[in-house]
Amino acid sequence: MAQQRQRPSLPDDLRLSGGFNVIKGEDPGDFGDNGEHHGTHVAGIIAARGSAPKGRLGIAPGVSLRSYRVFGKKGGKSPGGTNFDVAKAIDRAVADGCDLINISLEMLTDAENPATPDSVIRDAIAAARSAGVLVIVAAGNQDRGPVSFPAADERSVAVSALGRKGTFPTGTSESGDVAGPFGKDKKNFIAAFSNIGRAIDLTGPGVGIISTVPGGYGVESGTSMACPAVTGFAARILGRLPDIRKQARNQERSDAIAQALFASVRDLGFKPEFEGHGLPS
Amino acid sequence: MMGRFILRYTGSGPTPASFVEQVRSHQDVSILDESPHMLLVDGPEAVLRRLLETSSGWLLVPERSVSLPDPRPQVERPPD
Repeated sequence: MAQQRQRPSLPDDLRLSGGFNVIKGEDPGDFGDNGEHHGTHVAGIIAARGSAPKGRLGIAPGVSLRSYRVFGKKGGKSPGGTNFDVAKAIDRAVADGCDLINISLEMLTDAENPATPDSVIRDAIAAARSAGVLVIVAAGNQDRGPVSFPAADERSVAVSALGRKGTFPTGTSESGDVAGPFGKDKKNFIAAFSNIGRAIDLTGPGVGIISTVPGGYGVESGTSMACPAVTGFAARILGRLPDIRKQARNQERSDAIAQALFASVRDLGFKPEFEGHGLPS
Repeated sequence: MMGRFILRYTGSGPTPASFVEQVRSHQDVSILDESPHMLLVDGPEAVLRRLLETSSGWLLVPERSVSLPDPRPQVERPPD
């Protein structure tokens, strides 16, 4: 794919159909990896197209994936990552016709209350929902702290991180993420780092997740990883629901996507503040 | 108070161009970045609030940082 050859910072197993870099002073067309690998890992969970034995598939490898970069190049002049950058990226994704927006970041300007909203991002999320777009957000990783903003916004789909014993080697750092209470299947747990609370809508796998990084694959843990697992699943559901896809782009459409997602879950046996409706499956 | 602020238009219809020009031409305010619905500006908050009295439907919010959620415990101080 020609676009990929122009973007060597993206792994071969990840194909973008477009995007935008919102960072002032950087090339708007440079929406690939910024040197931190976080966004590339998140993107691969949704849509990696690798094949065995070396490659891996994301949850929705056939999806049209777009990247909106809100953090500056590592070592660059502008760090980015402001409420302006995030709102600009959301607005742009909506204008470009995206159906789902994955947000694997959090705002911690008020350490006492991480759920404190930012009016600009809040309005951008509201505008997205009004334009038929579902916004799925990582709950944050403050060790069972309250769900952080923007996941805490009532229009966001907030995602906690699920782990499963036996899916990572004992003695690795993931072992420290194991914490009770456990689910109906005692191997399942909500990660010790995951934020929890009444704002949680869903849970997704977020411990010891293998996904794309420049040059290959790497392991990461976090609600940042759980969030794209849910987004990928939402994309698969939406792919099976042409009636919703054809709906006028308004609040009813984004509500219908959310309801279809919430109706496609498995109750793992945790309290709602840990898993919300459950695990999409 | 001087600082970086976001002006976001939440009203219906297109962003009022006349107001944007008013901000752009104000000697105490610099536009650092802009998008179809927003301006990122540097200037005194009091001046910006006065400007907003002439146009409705705008939010005025300080620029703030977001971060990537990091699940790993952080070392507050490297070992000696």
